[in-house]
Amino acid sequence: METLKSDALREQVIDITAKITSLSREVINVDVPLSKIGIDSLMALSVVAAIEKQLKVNIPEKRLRGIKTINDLVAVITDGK
Amino acid sequence: MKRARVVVTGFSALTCIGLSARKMWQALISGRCGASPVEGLPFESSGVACQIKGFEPDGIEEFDRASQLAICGVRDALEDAKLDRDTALKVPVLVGTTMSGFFAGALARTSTTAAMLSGESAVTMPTSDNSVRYGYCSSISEAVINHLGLSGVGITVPTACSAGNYAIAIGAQYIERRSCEVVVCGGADAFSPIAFAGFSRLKAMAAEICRPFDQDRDGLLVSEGSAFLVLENISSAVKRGAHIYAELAGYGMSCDGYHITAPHPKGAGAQLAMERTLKQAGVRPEEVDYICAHGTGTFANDRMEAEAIQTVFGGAACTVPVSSIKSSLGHAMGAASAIEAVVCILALQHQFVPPTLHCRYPDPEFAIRVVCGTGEPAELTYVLSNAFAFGGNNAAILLKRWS
Repeated sequence: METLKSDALREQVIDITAKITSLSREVINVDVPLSKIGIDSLMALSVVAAIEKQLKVNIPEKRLRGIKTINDLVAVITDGK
Repeated sequence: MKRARVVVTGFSALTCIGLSARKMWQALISGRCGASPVEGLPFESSGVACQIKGFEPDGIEEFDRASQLAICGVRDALEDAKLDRDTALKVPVLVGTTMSGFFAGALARTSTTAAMLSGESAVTMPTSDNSVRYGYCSSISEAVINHLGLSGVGITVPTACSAGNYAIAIGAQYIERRSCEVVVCGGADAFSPIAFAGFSRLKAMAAEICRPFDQDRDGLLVSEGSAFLVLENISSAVKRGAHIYAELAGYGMSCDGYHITAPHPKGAGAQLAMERTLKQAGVRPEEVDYICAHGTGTFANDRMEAEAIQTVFGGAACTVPVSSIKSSLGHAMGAASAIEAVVCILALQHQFVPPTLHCRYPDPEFAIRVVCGTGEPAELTYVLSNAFAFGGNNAAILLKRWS
């Protein structure tokens, strides 16, 4: 059940990321550093802001530095829930 | 749907200081100058030009020199991008040029032309010789398509000295609008006796040395060359694991139509091109880390460009490094801004600002920071490249470092 929830969350995060960064979903590899797929730190902040707004979650500022991949981001969101 | 993002996945350069992009960069940062006594003119001259030595490609002798430069440049850029064969064969080609093959190539040598120029009233155009083949502007992109056996679109962009940037901007639009995933675009021009004579008559040509932004500058040096970029949709590039050199963060075009040869004195069109570029990229002037200037070394261009930079950049104009590589390799006309785009990519890659060679005493009237000497290391994320042309055709591009 938990895995299902986390998979669904990951899909939502990928959707939002794709929209904000103008990348197609298929190239958003959840395990590679964001910079390798053309998401710089400013863009990452826009993604985080959009996620907070759309998923109604709070991503603590002190955790931002540790987010290198989409999976890291998903983990931070899951922790906060 | 939002615009697709555009990245650079291949590039090439053929210049008088290096017959590959990397050799050109080495020459540039080691202070080499491509100027030498002019050769191959149909008239006597003691002038100086930046001509490519040792460029005699096999198997394409039938084409004029500008087309040869374009063919080799497109081929090198496509090879660098390592596209699969099917994609490469369908890639649209956009070639910026001032002269195309029309004046620079075969036409100027044919007896037909001589007859035409001598004022003979009835000249029969032979269909078998090259005067027909190179008798129109778009022959250059056609030559590339023809020789490389491509089946995509072939477009010649004839906006003179800004044609390289125009070709890059229009190429980017193909990708942004998702008409295709990959384009190859840039510019090519061969040394043109007509450009040489024309700039002399305009009193816009340097006697020996091109010194952009120097208080003692006395003009440009006519050059030749080609450079091409492979632009690709970011998603396509990431998906196929392409080597990504930089992102094309923005571009801006304008035409002020002020005068056939003189730039607008305040650089109105130049300002617009830079402003549109920054606006499209969503980048503030103070975020730009280097300006690769049009910097021809003419009195009028450099003054206008400095003023336009001051207007657009405000307080940041005094701190952002500016240089013109035309001091090293001359003004390659339609190829110039494409060559400069490649230089910007290499500057991002090496985190180094190339110098404005020969600039000893930057004009004190300009409140911009001209990089002279041997260049300087710098942290570069965004670099802006300007191109301004006859007729008020202006185009700028903004490249972003790929980390």
